[in-house]
Amino acid sequence: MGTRVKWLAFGGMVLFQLALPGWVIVDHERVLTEGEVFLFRTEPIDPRDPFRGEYVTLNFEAESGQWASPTASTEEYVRSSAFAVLGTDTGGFARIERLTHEQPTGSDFVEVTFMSYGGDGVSRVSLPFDRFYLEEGDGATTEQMLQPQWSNDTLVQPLPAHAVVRILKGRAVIEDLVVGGRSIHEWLKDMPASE
Amino acid sequence: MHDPRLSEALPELLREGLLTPEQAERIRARYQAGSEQAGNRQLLVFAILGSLLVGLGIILIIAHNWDDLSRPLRTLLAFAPVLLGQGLVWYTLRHKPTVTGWREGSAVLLACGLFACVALISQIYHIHGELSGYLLTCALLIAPLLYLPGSFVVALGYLAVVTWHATLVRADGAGELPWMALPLLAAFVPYYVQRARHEGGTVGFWWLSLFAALALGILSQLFYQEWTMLHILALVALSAAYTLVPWLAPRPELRTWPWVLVGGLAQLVLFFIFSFRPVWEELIDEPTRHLGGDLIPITLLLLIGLGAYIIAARRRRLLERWPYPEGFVLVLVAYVVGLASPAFAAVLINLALLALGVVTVRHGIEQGSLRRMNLGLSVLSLTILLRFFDTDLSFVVRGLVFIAIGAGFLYMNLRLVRQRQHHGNTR
Repeated sequence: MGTRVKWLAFGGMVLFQLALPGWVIVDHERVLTEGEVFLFRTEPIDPRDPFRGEYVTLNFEAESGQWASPTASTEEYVRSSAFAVLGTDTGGFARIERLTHEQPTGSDFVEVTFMSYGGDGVSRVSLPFDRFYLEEGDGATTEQMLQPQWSNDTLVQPLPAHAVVRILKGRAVIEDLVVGGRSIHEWLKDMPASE
Repeated sequence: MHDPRLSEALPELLREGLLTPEQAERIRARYQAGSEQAGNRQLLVFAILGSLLVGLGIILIIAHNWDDLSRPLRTLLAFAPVLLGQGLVWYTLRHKPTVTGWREGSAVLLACGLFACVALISQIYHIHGELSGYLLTCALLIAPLLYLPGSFVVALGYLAVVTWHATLVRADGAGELPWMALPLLAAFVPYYVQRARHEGGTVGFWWLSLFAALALGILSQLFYQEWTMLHILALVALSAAYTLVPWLAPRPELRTWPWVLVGGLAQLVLFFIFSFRPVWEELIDEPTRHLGGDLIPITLLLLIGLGAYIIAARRRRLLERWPYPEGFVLVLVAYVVGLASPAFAAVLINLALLALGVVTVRHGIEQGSLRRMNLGLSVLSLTILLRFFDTDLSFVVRGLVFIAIGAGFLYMNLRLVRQRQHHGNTR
């Protein structure tokens, strides 16, 4: 390899390795600053990823419902995607108004995936955000906090939780996880992390 | 190798007039180079190990997820290991382009830095996505390191990550096929050819071949929707092609043995599975009407097997060195037979296994190789022992067969050892 070509290739590699992560950052920052806020009611559970550490999987209430199928396809057991047009319920929480095949013109939509079982409409979709990363040890604490607990023979229901999500032209970024009106980070500061 | 006695012996040999001064100098240079090489190798191992440990350490520290740090600070931190790695790669290219330790060390550190960077960004923005997506991004980012500065350890890691990604995509259950793995694997091919040209006889190339054989073998099986006898036939074709690699390689000193190892092992396992009659009965009955898209990978693998056989036939005699390439033809025959009578196909495979055992034992004895002879004996014994699962024999008969096989092993080993001693070959 000639010296010129080698350095050009090296420059290209450096740019690529910085630009790809950099672009992801810029893209997500734009959603966080310019995106509209939606609140998704949720219940988290706690798994772990070998490289990216601990997170809670968010199970959103808005993912279940009854919508008309966005495609005319009757193929069974295939994963399809569609655009979900978002709205809010009377409590101010996000819900999916309808599913559509064409990209909506407004800003308040996200792309969702679902399994189709033939022509019967859709009852469950997956939103394009389902992970909330936490500091090591905090995942289990968060899960415990959001599960029903037994106390003196009575089942104590957990505090209601929701995710604060910013949405901009179909791109979504989770900003915070709120439990009983308080950010999860504030709760965790007051609590010792479990092992 | 550095022998301290050499430095004492050389002046003596010079004095006695057995060596000329030039010869003595050349001998000294030869062994000094050897000792320097050993030193370099040690340094290389430590450079790789060190940078791998530091890199993995960075990934682990980042996996802790430092919630107390602000978002901009964490974003900035994500790039620190990448910039450090890029700096080291730059230094290597500029000042140490020929030193393997620097090349490997800097590339490994940069690769780990990239893994950490992507992980940290995922954490900061709670980016949705399965592990397969993360691995894909990382594979894309580390791919240039195969060529700049050209790292063998990163290449092994790259193959592992690509295979892991493809397996996860396929295991997801939604019927998605790991298409992205194909261009990623294609990006590895020129690197493999380049290494074969420059370092084809090294231990490193041996490992590279092993990883390449495993990655290609696993990937080739991930593009199916169904599972029928035709799929098995394609797998046997690929494994037969693997065992022909030594005849396809341009130079005999290339360390292509892992291809044979993986191919031969895959074929043996398949043969043992298909020595059972119920397996044939079940798979032959699978409807082959819905093959659809599977026909393309099946045809491709069959063509690879066939092509490899035709090309190798110019240099290879029938059944030369090992009979695995011919195993493909045999399974083809058994498949046609199996369509009429599955039981007869199973009998054919059993006979093939027995023949394979006998041929391998003979090769072993001819070459005085205990390892190969015992492999042949193991194939023979396992074929017989597996038949116990098919038939209902009394304990006495089973006991007698076990004793006979054990005695056979002892006798054959003893015979070969004696034969070796007889030839004065105690290797």
